[in-house]
Amino acid sequence: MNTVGLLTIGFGTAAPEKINNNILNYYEYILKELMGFTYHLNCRINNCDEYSIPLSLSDCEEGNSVVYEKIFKHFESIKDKVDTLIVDISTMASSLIPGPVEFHIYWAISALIVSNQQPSMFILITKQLPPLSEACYIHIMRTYVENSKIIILDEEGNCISKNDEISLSDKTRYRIVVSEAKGNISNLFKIKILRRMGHYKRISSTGIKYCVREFYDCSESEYELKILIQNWIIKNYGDDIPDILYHCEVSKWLEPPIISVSKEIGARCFHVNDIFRACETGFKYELKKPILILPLIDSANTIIGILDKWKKFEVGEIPLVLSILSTQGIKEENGEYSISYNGNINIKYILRVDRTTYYEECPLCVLDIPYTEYGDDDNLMLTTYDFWSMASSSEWIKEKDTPKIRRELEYIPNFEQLIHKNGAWLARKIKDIINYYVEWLPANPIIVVCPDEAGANALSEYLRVIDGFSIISIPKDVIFAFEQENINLNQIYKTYEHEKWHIQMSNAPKNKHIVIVEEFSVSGSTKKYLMNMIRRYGFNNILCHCAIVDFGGKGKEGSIVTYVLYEFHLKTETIGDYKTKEYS
Amino acid sequence: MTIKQKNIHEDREVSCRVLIDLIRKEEDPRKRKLYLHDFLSKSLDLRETAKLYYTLEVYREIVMPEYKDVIKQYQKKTLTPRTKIDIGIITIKNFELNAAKIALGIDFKKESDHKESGYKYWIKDINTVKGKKLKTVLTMVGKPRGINISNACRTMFNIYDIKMCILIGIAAGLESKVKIADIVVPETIYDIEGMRLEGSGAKKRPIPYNMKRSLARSIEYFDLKVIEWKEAFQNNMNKIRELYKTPDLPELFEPEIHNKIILTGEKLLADGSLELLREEHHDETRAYEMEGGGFAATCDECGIPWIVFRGISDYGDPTTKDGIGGNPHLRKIWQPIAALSAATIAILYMRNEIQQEDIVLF
Repeated sequence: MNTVGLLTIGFGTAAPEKINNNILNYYEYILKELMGFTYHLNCRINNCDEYSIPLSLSDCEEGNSVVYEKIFKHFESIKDKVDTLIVDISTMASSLIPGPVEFHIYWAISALIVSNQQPSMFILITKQLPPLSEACYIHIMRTYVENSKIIILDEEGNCISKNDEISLSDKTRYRIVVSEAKGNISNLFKIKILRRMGHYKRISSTGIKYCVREFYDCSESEYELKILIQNWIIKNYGDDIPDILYHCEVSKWLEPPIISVSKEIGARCFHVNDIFRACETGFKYELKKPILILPLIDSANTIIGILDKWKKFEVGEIPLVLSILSTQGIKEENGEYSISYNGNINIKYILRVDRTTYYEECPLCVLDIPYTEYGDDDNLMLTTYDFWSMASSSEWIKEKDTPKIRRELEYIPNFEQLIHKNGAWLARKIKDIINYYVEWLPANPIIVVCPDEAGANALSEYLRVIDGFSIISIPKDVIFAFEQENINLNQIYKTYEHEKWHIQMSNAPKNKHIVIVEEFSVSGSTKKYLMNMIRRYGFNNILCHCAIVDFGGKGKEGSIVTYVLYEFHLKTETIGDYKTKEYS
Repeated sequence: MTIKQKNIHEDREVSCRVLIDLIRKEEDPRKRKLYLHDFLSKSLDLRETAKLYYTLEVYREIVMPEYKDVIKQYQKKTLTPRTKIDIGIITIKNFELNAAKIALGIDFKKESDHKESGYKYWIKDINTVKGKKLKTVLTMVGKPRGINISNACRTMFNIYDIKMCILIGIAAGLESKVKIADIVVPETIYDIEGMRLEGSGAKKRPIPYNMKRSLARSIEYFDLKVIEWKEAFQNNMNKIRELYKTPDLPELFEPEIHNKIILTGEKLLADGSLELLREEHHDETRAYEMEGGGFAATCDECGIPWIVFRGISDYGDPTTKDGIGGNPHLRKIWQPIAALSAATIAILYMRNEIQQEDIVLF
């Protein structure tokens, strides 16, 4: 039996992250397809956890030696135990440029191959194979490929091996496995949609004014949207590539993924207004099986207006209509419904969403709440109307996980539910607030340290997915152990040696910037103890503390300020004097 | 030039209206109590007239029915919304106020348009070179120092819905780099007052306040060589001499605009130490004054873009350099001229570089 070790590089992450089962299944799938059934993962054989190696752009900028040291340290711990090593460099933040990073990695691996007999085989997984003839660093690997020391595989299933002896038999299946391992694209798309609340003015094509409460902003899920649109077109058109038309006036997020898809599949791409403008000058595009993509269809007034113009200008065959989001339709995903227009027009959509529309008696107009501009929030913090709307749509409960030094708050919104419904937008607002106050927000990844509670974990997960922050979640009993300034750290290390949070805290680079995140703050004790813990673990750069609400109003005290999404302080008489535990 | 930025939070009056509506409609007394907490904490930031209006409004929702009518009798039927103003102009001393009035074309004898908490406000429209109007409001703090200008700004922001704020005044200049009646428009104001006093000496803790980049760029585009400024400048100088005995500026005088650094602190500089302060804090220091930090901090807190125009009136050394020939009785002699220089240039800047439709403050 051949034992296989793992060396997973987490680009753009600040702290080691546990490699989940989906990724481990993916590795096993690769082994089975490429190497056969006699290869097994070391961590599965020995029932132990595997963690990624955090690597940031600044690490790579420092040079080969920094990258090599990180890889070497992990390699040394496993090299004698494994016959084959999977080196995964495909999990990188999309903002990073792969070229220089991969260059350093290739150098590091070649150094490992040269200086070690064991393991005998390396499988390098990368996002995309570089062009063999152009990339200088691929020549570093060429010798080892020829000597059967290394196989290089990318996410499309393309493979470089000696004489192409080894390859994947079913690339389509492989791509599906990759999508599922790295996160279901459709789920990721849904998670990353920013449902911005506000008071949005709309005017229909027939001139009717009305108001809506939500603006769906998919700018954070550009990659996922690109994949979804591409897959949809391939599924519905096959090799017969259509002309892609789109329409977006306020939803500017639609344009980049559509242009990206067009380039990828070699389709022509037009804004539908460009077609109409051309028709006005007498020029007509010869469109081939056009598909018209819109960001969101609600009342269908916009699409009817477009089709009216289409008819008026005699553009040609009515396009197939795809809406990314729809408020109509029965199915939650990949549904369709008909609208009445010269018979029936079929509208297909990717995701169903809800939207609150007021044609008459808009309650926000009644309260003289100003209109919200599309595209970005007017205010860094949540408005009163939005905060209490979100709170009202969640259940109200007694506080859970209350610190021992004070009594629980009797009646508060269920923040976990509130975050579940609005997490993407809240995470984005937290990042905007940090950007505003910190000003020089580091380009390098940030670590979020949060208490291991449902709400805080949920908010932190959104920060990870939306903003790329690394998350370390600390159990409450551990946090409160750090109430003492002089707690015995060796005892902590010994007790929690194998716990995920401890491994992350111990192995994360100490120069990383940290943000403490909670769903809400009352006495500030969690913040205080976490600060003590973070400093005892050797971190010196705590940027700030963020919470949705600071009920106690203590956040502005002390060296690390609390930034909130909604200002709402309860007086001590209401919370209770938590220092003396006397309550009114 | 477009001035766009986010507010930190929404207008407090909007928040209070929403909370009153929530209290009115909510049946659960526990939620009503929380809404009331929220309202009372936010109402502290309201302007006086709004505070009274909304507080009475919330009382009507929470008192027993027999008292509602009594409250209604004392409540105004409607609350006048804050007047929308494009640019708020704030000065510190009387001669600076007069200088700003001259530059804006406000008659000295004209009564103020509004008074509140002892502050007076004059409203004036400026015509821009593109034929549009900018609505401005002018006021004076009265006393120096950051805390006083902070209070004045907050009061003004409570009364008027202001999109942008300008401070016009005088400053002590760095003799090696600026001359009398030059204007310093700082891209950064360094508040140098903060420090930690230790046995081994003071540890400096300066706080920088940066002008918004878009505004700073618009100042860089503002070029006295290509705009008509001399006539306005001369006319204004003639008017200030009707009020104050001032010496003449040299015949070919041209004010220079310095987009560099201003140091600000709580102490009046009268010991000739500006050069030393420049060495200690920032090489690009051109002037020192006492209100910039409080002004910038308050504007930033309220989400209002700001610019400072400071005319150089002296060199911070009344015994040797200031005034004329170091005569201590004449140390303030250039102050009205310096203030007028700053005010004239500030108004010219507004007329040439800012268009009303471009000022978009969310």
